[in-house]
Amino acid sequence: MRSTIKVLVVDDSALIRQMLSRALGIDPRLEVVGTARNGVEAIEKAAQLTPDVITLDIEMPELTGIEALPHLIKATPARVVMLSSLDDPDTTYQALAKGAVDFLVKPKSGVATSLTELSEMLVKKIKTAYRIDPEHRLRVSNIATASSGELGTSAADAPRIATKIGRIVAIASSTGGPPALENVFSGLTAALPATYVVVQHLPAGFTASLARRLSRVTDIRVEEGRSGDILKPGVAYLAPHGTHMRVVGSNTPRIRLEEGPPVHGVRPAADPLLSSVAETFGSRSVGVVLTGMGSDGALGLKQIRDGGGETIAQDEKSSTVWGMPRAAINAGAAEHVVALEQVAVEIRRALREGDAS
Amino acid sequence: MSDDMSAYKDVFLSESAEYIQAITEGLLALESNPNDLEPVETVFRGAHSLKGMAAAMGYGRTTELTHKMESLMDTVRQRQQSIDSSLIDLMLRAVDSVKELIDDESSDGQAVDVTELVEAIVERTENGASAKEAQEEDAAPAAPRASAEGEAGSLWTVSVTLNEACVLKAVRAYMTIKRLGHMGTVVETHPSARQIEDEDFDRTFEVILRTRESREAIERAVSAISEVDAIEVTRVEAEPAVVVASKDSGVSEPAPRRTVPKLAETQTVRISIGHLDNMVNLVGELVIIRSRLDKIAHDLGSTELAETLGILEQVSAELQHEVMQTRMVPVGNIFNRFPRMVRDLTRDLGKDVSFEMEGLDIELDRTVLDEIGDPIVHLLRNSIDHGVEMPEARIAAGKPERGSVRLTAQRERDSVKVIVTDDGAGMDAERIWQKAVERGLVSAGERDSYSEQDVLLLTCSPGLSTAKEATKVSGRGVGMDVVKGKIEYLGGTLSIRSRPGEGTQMVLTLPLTLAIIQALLVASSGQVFAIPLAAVSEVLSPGEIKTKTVDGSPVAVLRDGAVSSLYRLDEVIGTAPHSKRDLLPGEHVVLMESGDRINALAVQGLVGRQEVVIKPLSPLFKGLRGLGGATVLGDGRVALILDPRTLFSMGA
Repeated sequence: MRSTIKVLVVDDSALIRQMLSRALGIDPRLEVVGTARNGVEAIEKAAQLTPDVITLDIEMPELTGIEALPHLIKATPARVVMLSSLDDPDTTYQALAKGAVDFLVKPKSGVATSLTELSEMLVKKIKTAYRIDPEHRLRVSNIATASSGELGTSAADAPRIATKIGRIVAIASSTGGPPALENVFSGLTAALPATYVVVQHLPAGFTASLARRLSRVTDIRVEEGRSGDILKPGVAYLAPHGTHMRVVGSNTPRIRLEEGPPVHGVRPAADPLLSSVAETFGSRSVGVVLTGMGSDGALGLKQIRDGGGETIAQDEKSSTVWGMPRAAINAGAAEHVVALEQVAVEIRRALREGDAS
Repeated sequence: MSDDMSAYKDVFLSESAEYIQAITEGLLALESNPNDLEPVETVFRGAHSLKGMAAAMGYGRTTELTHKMESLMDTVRQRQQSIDSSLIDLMLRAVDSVKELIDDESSDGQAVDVTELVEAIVERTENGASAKEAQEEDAAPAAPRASAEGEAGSLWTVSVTLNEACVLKAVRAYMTIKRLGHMGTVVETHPSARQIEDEDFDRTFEVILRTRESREAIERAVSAISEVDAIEVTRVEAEPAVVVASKDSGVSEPAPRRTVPKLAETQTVRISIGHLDNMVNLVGELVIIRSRLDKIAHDLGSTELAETLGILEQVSAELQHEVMQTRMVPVGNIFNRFPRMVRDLTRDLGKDVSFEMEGLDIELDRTVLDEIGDPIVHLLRNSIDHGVEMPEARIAAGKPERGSVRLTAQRERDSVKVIVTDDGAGMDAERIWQKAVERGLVSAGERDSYSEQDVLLLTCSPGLSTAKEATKVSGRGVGMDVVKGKIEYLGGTLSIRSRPGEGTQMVLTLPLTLAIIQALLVASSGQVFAIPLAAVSEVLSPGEIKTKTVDGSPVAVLRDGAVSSLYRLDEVIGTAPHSKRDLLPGEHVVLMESGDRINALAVQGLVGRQEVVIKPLSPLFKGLRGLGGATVLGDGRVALILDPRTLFSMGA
């Protein structure tokens, strides 16, 4: 029999604590071992109850979720899932960079009425979080702090922006993706002769904020892709929520957003983007599949590889969830399998080689 | 609606009330001292949490309004807004609307429309900065913190030592630094922030802080953090300009600060009031059964049973104590709405009043507490409306321009005193006396038998008000008698002290609890009645009683020769025909105090003295004066409890 997953629910509202405890209690694998109403209590109870997973609210009296997070991660092996509100994606990304493994957005209204739906999502996230190696949290937070130091220099050393698109870099990521993307982009500069397209599975309202956040770690301009945007060198286009993003037009490659049905249950999905990249850029494509649940991206990456492009998958150890990269590797799509810190190095190498050829 | 939903709704309603209160308190604290940003956090977080909770319940309009409030407070938090009275007004208005909206939405209503308010908040959120610039000319003394210089205030070294047993040193240190950051600018820390985060320090750390706050304010803020053992605040450098240092206390004293209660502290285990009342009732039953068993044990003559009952008595007494304890609620729970009321009132009246409260943690039985809210409101209104003079009048009288009203709760041995003190115009006993004579309440010749206190209490007689003209706030002469009546109904007393020109003090003395009282059991017409022992001043046995007739009515002659009206219980209650007013042989007389009068009550016999549990009368009996409730006796019989306050006014 599998062991139960011990959960600590942290929220300043008694109402929300009660709702969550009840919702989580329905799943036999989960056991809510306690609740805490602010950051200090969370730290104390985490030490005392050794939960496997903590659901952490952000705004709380005395010590906020963000403030408590580093202590929680240092002091206990618990994986932290942030409960974010819709209008604060920035803080959520900050939390992910500090070692929270995942997040769930509280629905804008009617938790009570859609409690089943919410609890399904939360239970799934908690189970996924439970499988994550506790060591991983520390690595993420260490990398996050380390990489931020590196940026300034790369930006300062390379003030110029590439004038041509040598290759296109297409990146797919999901769970654990935002900090991973930060890490990758902090190792890239606008001087590299490339354009970038990125799919990161996110809830509505979180893409623009991620674009802003990524723009801070690199001089590459990161923006939400809009239909008709002509791809420019030194710019990264992030697929917006709710539509698939493709690249079309081999002479003047540009962005096309399509409604279309969800693929692998998500929209945007990585597969449509990666296959369109393979079709449009052929061997000038560089495909990257980073950490994430599921298998999105594997097919597209295979197409890139089959079309003569370079393909990279993140290795198991550095992945928050080694789902998408594993699927890509199993599909024979990944030419290079490297640790997160090596992904930017690998991309730079591919771009240099592409430039030379 | 499912059971879950209705349970959630209960939690939501009680929790949202807590947040609304915390927001209100935060806003008032902010208004009295805009230099400290801590209340901003409280208000912001309160709005944020309300938003989340309302959203969870699916209350769309409440969510929308609280969201806008949160956004506005966020700009305040980011120091993009000036903190002025228009901001506080807007937010208070919003809080009021949140209350209405919650009532509306939780009962599926559509009545409350907040569109305009939401627009006003959005407008302020977006254009706050320009509004601030426009207002900067008339220099709001508030909001200097929003300015870019940020260099105002003195430089202090705050050295903090944590408790030896502190396990979360880094966290406590972080919280201390954060708290200080709200009062000004943290210039640096020793050891460095990084080392503190890594817990790389012993027990003591230092924070260099620039702030306009006083030493006391800094100490107070830090000592509010748990596990802080010692604080040492040293001034490094005085404020650079404007305020000229006078001797060593050069820093201008900020307005007295209201401590903002932390949300976390107001939260406790929630028990529905129904459960609590049931517990009290059940414990009451237990007390009754115990006394029935006592009787049986006595009749049986079983020592073993008597011994066991002795233990049961101890246990049930402890249980009763514990249960009563759970009903004790800090007076702060009802006091906390007064600052807002006082603020609105002083503003309406154009007065300037500082309002302070003390003893908020003093506890009272919930039933008592629920009843005293309105009386206190009335006393506060009196103090502000009639007591405290207009600013000009105060200056003319050589008093500080700003009046003062204090509300204090004090614990005595088995009572609680609630005191309202003002430094206003005071009450003129002679004028009150004259008025009472004019109205025919007293006769001029009686003056000597009235103490100063008695005269002041005449203001509590129906139809006597000393205000020159009735205002909308108070002073139609109906208020004070209701207040006094209510307090006496609760088994408490009201006393007034006042000096013309110096101020007035009103003291409510309240019993700690109501539900179980000591009672004298008496018999009349074959029934047993309970008289609250607190109201009994003396019992006269048949041999001790002297009666005579005054103006055709029988009176009892007391020991000191004074007389008091003699009533018959059977007649008063209506179990006997109205004619027999004379005392029958063998009857006892109970002397009862009600207010300032003593009445004599003839009863057929005394049954004993006992602790009784008050049970409310069914609504059927509600209109009956003279009865305060019922109780079940040891032998299972029901006894009516007399209400001394209304008993003798019947038919009068």
